[in-house]
Amino acid sequence: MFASEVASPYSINEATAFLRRFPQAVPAAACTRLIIDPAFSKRPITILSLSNIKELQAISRTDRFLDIGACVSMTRIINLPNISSLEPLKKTLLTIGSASIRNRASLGGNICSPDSFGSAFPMLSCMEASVELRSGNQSRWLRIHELVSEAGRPALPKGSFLTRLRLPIRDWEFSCIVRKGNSILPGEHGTCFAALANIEKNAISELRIAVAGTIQVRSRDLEMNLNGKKLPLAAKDIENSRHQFMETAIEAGLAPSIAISSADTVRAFLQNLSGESA
Amino acid sequence: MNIQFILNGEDIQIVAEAGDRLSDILAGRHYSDSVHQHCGYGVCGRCMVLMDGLPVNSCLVPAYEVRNSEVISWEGLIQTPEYQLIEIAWQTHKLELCSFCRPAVSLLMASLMDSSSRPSDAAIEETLSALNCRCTAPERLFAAGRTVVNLKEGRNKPDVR
Ligand SMILES: Cc1cc2nc3c(=O)[nH]c(=O)nc-3n(C[C@H](O)[C@H](O)[C@H](O)COP(=O)(O)OP(=O)(O)OC[C@H]3O[C@@H](n4cnc5c(N)ncnc54)[C@H](O)[C@@H]3O)c2cc1C
Ligand code: FES
Ligand code: FES
Repeated sequence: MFASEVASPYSINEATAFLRRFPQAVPAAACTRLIIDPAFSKRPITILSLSNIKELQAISRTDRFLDIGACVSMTRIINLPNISSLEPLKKTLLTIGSASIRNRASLGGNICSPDSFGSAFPMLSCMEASVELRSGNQSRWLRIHELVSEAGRPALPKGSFLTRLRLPIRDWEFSCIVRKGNSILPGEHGTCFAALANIEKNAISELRIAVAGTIQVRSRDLEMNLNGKKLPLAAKDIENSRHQFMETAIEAGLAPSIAISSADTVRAFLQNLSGESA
Repeated sequence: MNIQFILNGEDIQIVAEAGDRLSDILAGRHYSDSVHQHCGYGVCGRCMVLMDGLPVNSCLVPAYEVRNSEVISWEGLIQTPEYQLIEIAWQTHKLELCSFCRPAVSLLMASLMDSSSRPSDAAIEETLSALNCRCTAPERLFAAGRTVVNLKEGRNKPDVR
């Protein structure tokens, strides 16, 4: 990595002041992704390192939400005790890199990459996380799906950086995470599938499904169609859902082969849901 | 950029480019013979060190992140009493690892001994899988890891599988 200049502020205010002076600066957390990015091996970059800012390392909890600082490492999240609603996210994080990478890699850095979605993104999207962004003197909360452009691509607003993630505390009976493709980073050759579901009185009471690689796809129509359906689902409903997801994914711009394989995962998830709840 | 850090208990002060990798500094400037920059991509685990107590791939750590941190390489670890427990585990399980893997696995085992709570089987497996050794069965590494943890806790009977 060719870092021509590095600022390592100790407060959010200093960081925003630096970003105002150097709008082209690249925010960095643990750098586990930046350092292997070929785009930065020759081209000089100015780094705004966020790793010394204490607030970005904080974790706090209320009855309804868990707030996680953008620079909190994945290992710290995996080791958080007694929060059952975090299990789907923990399961997701365990698929990322290795233990020694997760000791440093941050959740914020995972979802802020400009060119493809990190593996945690689709699960955070299913959990309907919110993110706090900071630019200038202002901080604002966005729903995580507002970090996705209309074209389905990552869209972190320029000149801002992520300070916190807010996860609703609620339990999910069924969660599923499936990684496809063998690239290190999800992208052209890899995708991450995430799904969450709750069942009440033997019917689907809530369902969320997302897939992300270079493009993120979440079909709310499909989720709504299946909400309230009795289990086990009819084979026809499962096939229709597979088809609907595939069409949405192709329309969103996923390569047809990836769209088909993601739709197959939707089908497998729904079949499992039907089987497991029986 | 001036970089100060502690390596194996010694204060180090160097001048490096901010984006240089810790593995390059340790191996390239002969601070450590056990750190190897092999894949340079966070995959092989041969550049493992402990940074502020946690195992990290030093090829993924830029120099500016090393400032004011405490780094322990295998050369430092072997000076500690914990390393004797690791050696007992090697012998108990007749593990003979190559010169790339032995330092990395030792550091990973040292981190297991250092965990605040008793590491679960899954945690031991996860931690040790940070090294990509293509010749030793993961179960054998796991058994040695469990032994090390038991020895540290004063449970003298090593698990032999
Ligand atoms: C061997 C290996 C395996 C990996 N496997 C996976 C994998 O399976 N899935 C996966 O998703 N990733 C993977 N990664 C990539 C990377 O380790 C993770 O995505 C990690 O979460 C990035 O976090 P970081 O703190 O290191 O981010 P950094 O590398 O510091 O930053 C990553 C990106 O986010 C931006 N950024 C960081 N923090 C902020 C912030 N607070 N505000 C705004 N922008 C910010 C940076 O500008 C950069 O574009 C892997 C990497 C390696 C080396
Ligand atoms: S050289 Fe660092 S993991 Fe391979
Ligand atoms: S012992 Fe080194 S590769 Fe297996």
